[in-house]
Amino acid sequence: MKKQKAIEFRQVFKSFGDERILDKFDLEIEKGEFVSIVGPSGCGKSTLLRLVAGLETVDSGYLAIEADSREKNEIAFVFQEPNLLPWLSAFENAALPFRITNQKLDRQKVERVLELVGLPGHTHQKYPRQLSGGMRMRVSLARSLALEPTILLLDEPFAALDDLLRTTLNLELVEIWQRENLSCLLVTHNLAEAILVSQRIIVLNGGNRSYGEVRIPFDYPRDKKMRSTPEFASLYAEVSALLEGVDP
Amino acid sequence: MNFYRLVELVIPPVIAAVVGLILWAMIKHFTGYGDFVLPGPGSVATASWEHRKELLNSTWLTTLSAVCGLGISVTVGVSTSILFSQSRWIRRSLFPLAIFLQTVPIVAVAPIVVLWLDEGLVATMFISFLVSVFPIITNTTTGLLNVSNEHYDLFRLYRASRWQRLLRLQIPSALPGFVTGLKIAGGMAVLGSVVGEFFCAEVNNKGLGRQIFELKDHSMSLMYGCIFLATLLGVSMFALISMLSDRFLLYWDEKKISSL
Repeated sequence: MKKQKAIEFRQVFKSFGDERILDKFDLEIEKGEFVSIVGPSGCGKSTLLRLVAGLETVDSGYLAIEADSREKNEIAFVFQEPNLLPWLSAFENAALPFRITNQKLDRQKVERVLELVGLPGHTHQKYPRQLSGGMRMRVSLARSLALEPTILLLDEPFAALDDLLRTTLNLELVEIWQRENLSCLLVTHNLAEAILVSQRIIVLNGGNRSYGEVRIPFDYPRDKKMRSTPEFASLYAEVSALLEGVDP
Repeated sequence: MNFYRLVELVIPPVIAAVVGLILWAMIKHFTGYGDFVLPGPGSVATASWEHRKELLNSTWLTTLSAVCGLGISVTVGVSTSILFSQSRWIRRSLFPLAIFLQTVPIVAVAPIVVLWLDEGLVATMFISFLVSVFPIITNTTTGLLNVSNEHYDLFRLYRASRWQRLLRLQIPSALPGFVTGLKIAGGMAVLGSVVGEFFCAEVNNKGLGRQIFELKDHSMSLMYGCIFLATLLGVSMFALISMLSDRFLLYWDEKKISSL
């Protein structure tokens, strides 16, 4: 049976001034799939996410999002920085999507997502400046999950964190993805991170006139130890080679 | 506020004030100026104490005028800033007018205002408003417009209306800027009131400005007392606004607003 598509790019073209960012770009992401996008800086990874989120528009081509996701606020975006509002507590930050969309605040739902991302109750009334970098990122993740999205876009969300915390949060993200039945699209520079969390990696090369794809054969749940296996190393080499534009 | 923080806040200005008084007394002593040119700190204190009722009444009138002027500035300034933040066209059309308000020499305008509004509290309040509104407009407008792109993106993602964005993002973001403007405007409002009072010869409305104007010819010591009280009023406004901002804007930024 053919799986439902969450996101579909077909022959998408996007430029900023004279700079071509995406050129005849094709990509399909199935519902419930976890896909990572890797590529050098400026290759259009973030633009791709912003197009899906509706923060940018395509110049030409076709971009389809799972039925009514945008209208129903079912697309969530986790930015590179936590982007928390400093005058709101962790709880109020996580509840912000309810406020912005004029929906009745569901306190239980907000408490649930805060617990889901691993924030204990005593931190919910703290302000961003009272929280560590990792905790702020967790609040940002909770905020993105508050309206129960179907599509989660992540733009290098853990890039500023140390390696250990990043791995922990990545594995927690995988758990959330599975539990909440999300379609995830993660942009990252970190190949190990992409292999650790995703089912499929899309490798973008300069200008995206060429790009490759690597399927990750590991089962879930995954853990930190798999990073030291030969299979992991082999996949890492394969993605690296694609990234450098060399056939593996 | 703990004891050490209080000491840290109070001791340095007290030391500076004591050093200032000593220097003042030394200048008076070594230059040999008479009381008519430079009264000493002692004679200023004595004259002020003797006329304390009169001075307190004048201080009250100046305070009333400055606080009301500042209140009007806040209302008009914030409303104008919100209007400026919503339309580039309005901003470009009306901002030069706001700059005009700032650059116009208030000493030249004050007599005209007094002529229009008659000698009294309304005129001094209006002059105080004219002088203090600009810092509020510029700082608040800057705060309303300087919202980070990432925060805008977040609100765009959830398709926030212009009203939602203004209410939940721009206005809270602008609060530190508004407070910075308010701190400057507080001192300016006192200055405006004092200048306004120079031109208001109404017998029942002798604010500190009018007292300074009248006393310059016969009691330099008392005039210095009035200047001191006007300065104290400006400093008190600044301190009060700083205290309130410390209390209410504690979590607004990594750097506390009081460090501005």
